[in-house]
Amino acid sequence: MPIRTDNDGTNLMKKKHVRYSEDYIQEKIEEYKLGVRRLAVMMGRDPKTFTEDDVKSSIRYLFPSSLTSVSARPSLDHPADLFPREIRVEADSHGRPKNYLFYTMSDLFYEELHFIYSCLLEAQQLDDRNYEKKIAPETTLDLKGSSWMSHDEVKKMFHNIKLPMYNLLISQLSRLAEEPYAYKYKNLIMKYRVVFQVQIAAKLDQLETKVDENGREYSEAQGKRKTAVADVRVYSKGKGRITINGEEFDDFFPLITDRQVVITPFNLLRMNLFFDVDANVRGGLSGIWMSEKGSSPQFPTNPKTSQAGAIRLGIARALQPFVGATNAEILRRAGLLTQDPRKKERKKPGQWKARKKFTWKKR
Amino acid sequence: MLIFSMLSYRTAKLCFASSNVALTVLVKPKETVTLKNRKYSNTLDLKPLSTSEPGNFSTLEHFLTDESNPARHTIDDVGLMYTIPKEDYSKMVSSQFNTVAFTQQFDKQVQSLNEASMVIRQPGFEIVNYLQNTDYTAPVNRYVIHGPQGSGKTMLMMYATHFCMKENWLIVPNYNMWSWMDYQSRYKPTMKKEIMESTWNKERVDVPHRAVIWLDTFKLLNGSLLDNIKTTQKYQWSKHESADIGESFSSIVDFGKARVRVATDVIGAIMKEIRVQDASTMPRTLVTVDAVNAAFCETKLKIKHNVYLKAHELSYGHNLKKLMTSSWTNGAVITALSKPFLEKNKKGYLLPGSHPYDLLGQEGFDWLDPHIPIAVGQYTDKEILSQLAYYKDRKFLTGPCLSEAGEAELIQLSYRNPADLAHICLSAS
Repeated sequence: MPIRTDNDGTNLMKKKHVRYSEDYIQEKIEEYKLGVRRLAVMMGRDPKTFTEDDVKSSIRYLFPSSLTSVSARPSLDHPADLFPREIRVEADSHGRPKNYLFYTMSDLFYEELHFIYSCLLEAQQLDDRNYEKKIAPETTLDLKGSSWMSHDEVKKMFHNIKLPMYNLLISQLSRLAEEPYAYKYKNLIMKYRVVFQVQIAAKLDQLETKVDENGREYSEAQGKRKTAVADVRVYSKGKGRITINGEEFDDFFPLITDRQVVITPFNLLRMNLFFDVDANVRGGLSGIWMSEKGSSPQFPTNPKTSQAGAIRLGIARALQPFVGATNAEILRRAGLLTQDPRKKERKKPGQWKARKKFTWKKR
Repeated sequence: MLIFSMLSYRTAKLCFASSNVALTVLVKPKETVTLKNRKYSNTLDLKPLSTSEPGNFSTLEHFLTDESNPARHTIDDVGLMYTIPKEDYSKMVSSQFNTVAFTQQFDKQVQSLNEASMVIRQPGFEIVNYLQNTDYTAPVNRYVIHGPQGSGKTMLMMYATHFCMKENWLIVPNYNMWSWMDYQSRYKPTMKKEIMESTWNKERVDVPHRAVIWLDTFKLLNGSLLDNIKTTQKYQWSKHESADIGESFSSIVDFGKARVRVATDVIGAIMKEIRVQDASTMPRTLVTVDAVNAAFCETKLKIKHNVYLKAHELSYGHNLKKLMTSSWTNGAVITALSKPFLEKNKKGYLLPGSHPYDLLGQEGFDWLDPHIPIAVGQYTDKEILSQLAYYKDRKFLTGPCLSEAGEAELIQLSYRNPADLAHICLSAS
């Protein structure tokens, strides 16, 4: 953003609530068009087909900048985006505003609220009348797959919306949506709702079940967490038996919390005792610190926690071909199919650990 | 003999043949409850998460037997629960003397439910069967109960103890051998003064306060049985105090409780009389030793700096180890192994395995050779379902635990380990 200055040379960016007249902005737009035309000629392009993206790329080419801050780089913006417009008020010949809600500071918003309330009254009256006549509503309003707009999104529709006002709007709308005849006002309600963009779960085509030498169906997957890596094999038609590195489940994980982590995918789908699991797990210790001589004394870290997390991810991945798309979607939404990206932070020179500093002594 | 015993873990038949147990034919139970018969075994018919609701209750109705005497339990009762009568339980449990007879989990459960119920298990039924059919004119049998951690070794021992109590046996208890080998609190220096040189033999060491506790539990367990047992020898406790021939056990025990210095010697006398006397004068005797592998390793007690005592240097340990040999008749020795205290004993040292030979070591294995191994494992389907049905019936489990899915989760989380299941159920409620 370039610095906007007045004719006197004062910085307008520092002044708040500065608004520009329509004529001024129109003047600037014409200047901008001329500038763009000139730029297109300089770049050897046809001015008629020269778009805003071309403007950006040509500015980047002519004034190459390695500044990290985006706002500090040179740019050529449209004046409509740069200069805030004056608010035009509809007034009579005496200068009095025509809208009776003008002095509420946001007249359009309160007008909308009044309209919603009138719709609510209508719906209630309709319900009362039809209840006496014993007529049931034809359909119901299905709001699945969408949610109410956020505060920021409503701000774009109306001017000067505070949080309590937003809450008022949503409560009013949800009262209307609960009415049995709300389907008649579907357009009004859906104006303030955002439809979900449903993502499809992991590609099931890639995962296929295989058959064992003994004729048992199984699927394989790998899971990772920190430095632990687990190769997991899940058998169908099992009895809930889990073996890890050849050991039984309770021998390998004496702590119940670790066991709870491993069986979360089964708990979530309520499929305990349906599958058998055979896992091979390795890693999980911060190896550099354990082996280094002369380093500061470290307590041996427990590899089991990260190993349990790695096995959990492997189980969730291997379960997908057995449980079907809907259940796989449940697993994905619970976050069981995504790897935990966190890693151990490295030690820094000049301090004990990643963050811990040496004790400060004056001398 | 060692090789023979090692073999016996693979082929149980050989070991039974060597001991003087009359083998009984074990018939398989008629009704078998398995998880396969239940509703939730079909994978493909399962509905998605949003529609499935908790509310399918366990269908198991018969999980308790009315029979409270272990002698009268039949093969059909295996896998069900039975209730120990209150008067028996109050005799067996001796928590007032700071030793735990049953497990801590079980004590907690009994306190909250006001009822001592435990599962009748296959090895327990087996051991009672052996005790009923043994020839008691031959030297005593040594039983070694072994199994993974938390599988119910101690509970099995107490089941056998309850059987013997009902049969009016004399019971020589040891609920935790390791408690004799350590100070009550290693961090209080005053506690360390509680060991002293033995008055009987100056090479050995006494632990007087533990000996008094032992005498208390011994008297509580056996009660009026002690009045009829007489000594066969004169015992000179000190210059002026002695016990003549024909003095009753109860008077010796009372004397030992009154004179703390002599308490350990009284225990030695009792153990010697049990070994020496025959069936005409001495009732049938059961010796129970929990954490028996503690008797074959170093103690935490010391008199000199940096020199730890051996178990046989304690006068109690010396006498108990004599009682654990097969040199006497008309009785039985039931021992149970324990792993956790060994890991405490040597810091950073992990045991190679949980096989009885690894735990007992060469010395212990030779000492208890030959013995009858009794293996305890995780719960079977019937056992765990009746345990869960009991918890539900007593309103110990509530909410989502009641559904079949919740039940399955508990089974998988505990992995059928009895101690883990009790721990989860106690903490969940």
